[in-house]
Amino acid sequence: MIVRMLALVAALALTAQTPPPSISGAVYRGGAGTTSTALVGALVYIHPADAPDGQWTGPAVTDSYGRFLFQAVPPAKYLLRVFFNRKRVWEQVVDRPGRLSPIVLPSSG
Amino acid sequence: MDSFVTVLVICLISGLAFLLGSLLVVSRLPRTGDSGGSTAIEWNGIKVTTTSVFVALTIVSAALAVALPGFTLWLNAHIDDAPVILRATLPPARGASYNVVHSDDIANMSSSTLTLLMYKSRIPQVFSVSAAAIDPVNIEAHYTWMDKSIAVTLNNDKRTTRVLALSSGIADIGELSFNRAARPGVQTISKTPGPKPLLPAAASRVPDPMLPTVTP
Repeated sequence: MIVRMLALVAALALTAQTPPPSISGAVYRGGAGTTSTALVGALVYIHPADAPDGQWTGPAVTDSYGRFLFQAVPPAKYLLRVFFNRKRVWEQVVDRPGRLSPIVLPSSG
Repeated sequence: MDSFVTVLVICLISGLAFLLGSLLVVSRLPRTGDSGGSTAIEWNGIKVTTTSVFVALTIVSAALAVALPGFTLWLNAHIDDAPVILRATLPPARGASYNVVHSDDIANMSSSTLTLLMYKSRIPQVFSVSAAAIDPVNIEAHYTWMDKSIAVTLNNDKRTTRVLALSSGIADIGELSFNRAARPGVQTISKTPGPKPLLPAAASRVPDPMLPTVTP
C-alpha cells in the first residue's frame, strides 16, 4: 500500500515537473567550406500545418546566437517559416514540438 | 504639441467653412415674406426667420469652437508621440552580459537592468533577450493607446500575457526568468547547408504572416 502511494506521488511529481512543450532551434548562415555564423534578428513564425485557416504564432526573434524559442506550444504538426530582411529565407514542417536541428542557410540566401 | 496646433487650425478653418457654408445655404432658401422686421425663409415646409437661423448658427459654431479644441486637448493628453520605456530586471548572468535583439534588426548589449525603448505603435514590437548559457526570452510588447499600458507576452505564450500600466512613460516587467540553455551558444554544425525539407502542397499554400514594421 505504501509502495503504491509512493509510486503515485512520484508519478504526480513527474507530471507536474514536465515542462510545457516548446519549439526551439537556431538559424545559421554559412555554406560549404565557410564558417557558419548565427543569423541575428530573423523572425520565426509557426502555423498549424493541418489547419490552413489557422493563425500564425510569432514572431520569435533569433538572438545573438541565432536561437529562437516558442513556449507552451500544443502538440501538433507545424509549418515553420523564417524571415530575414522581410524576405522568406526558410520553411519546413515540424512534426512535433521539441528542439529542432540547426537550420543552416546558404551564404547567398 | 505641434499636432495639437495643427488640429486647432483645422478646427478653426472647418468652423469658418461651416459658418460660411450655412450662410450660403440660408441665403439661397426661398423668402416667404417679412415677419416683424426679419425675413422669413421656408425649408421643407418649415418656416423660420433669418434672425433665429443666425442665432442658431452662432450657438452651434460657438459650441463647436469649444467642443473641438476641448476634445483635441483631451486627445492630446491621452496620446502623445513620445517613446516609452519597457524595463525588466535580469538575473546576474555569469561572466557575460545579456544581448538584446529587436525585431527591427537592432542588436545591443545590456547589463543587469534592461531598458527597451519602444515606440507607441499599433503593431507589436518584439525583442529577444539572451546570453550564451541561457535560452532566449522573446518579449512581445504591444502598446495600447487609450489605456496607456503595454501588453507583454513572453516566448509567444499567450497565457503569460500581462498588461502593465505606464508610469511616467515607464512600464516594468519585473524580473525575467531564464532557462539554462541545453547547449552553449556556439554550436557544432554541419558546414554544408542541408536541402530544404519537402513541404506538403497544402502547407506551401499558406500565405505568409504580416511582418512587423516599426512606425515611430
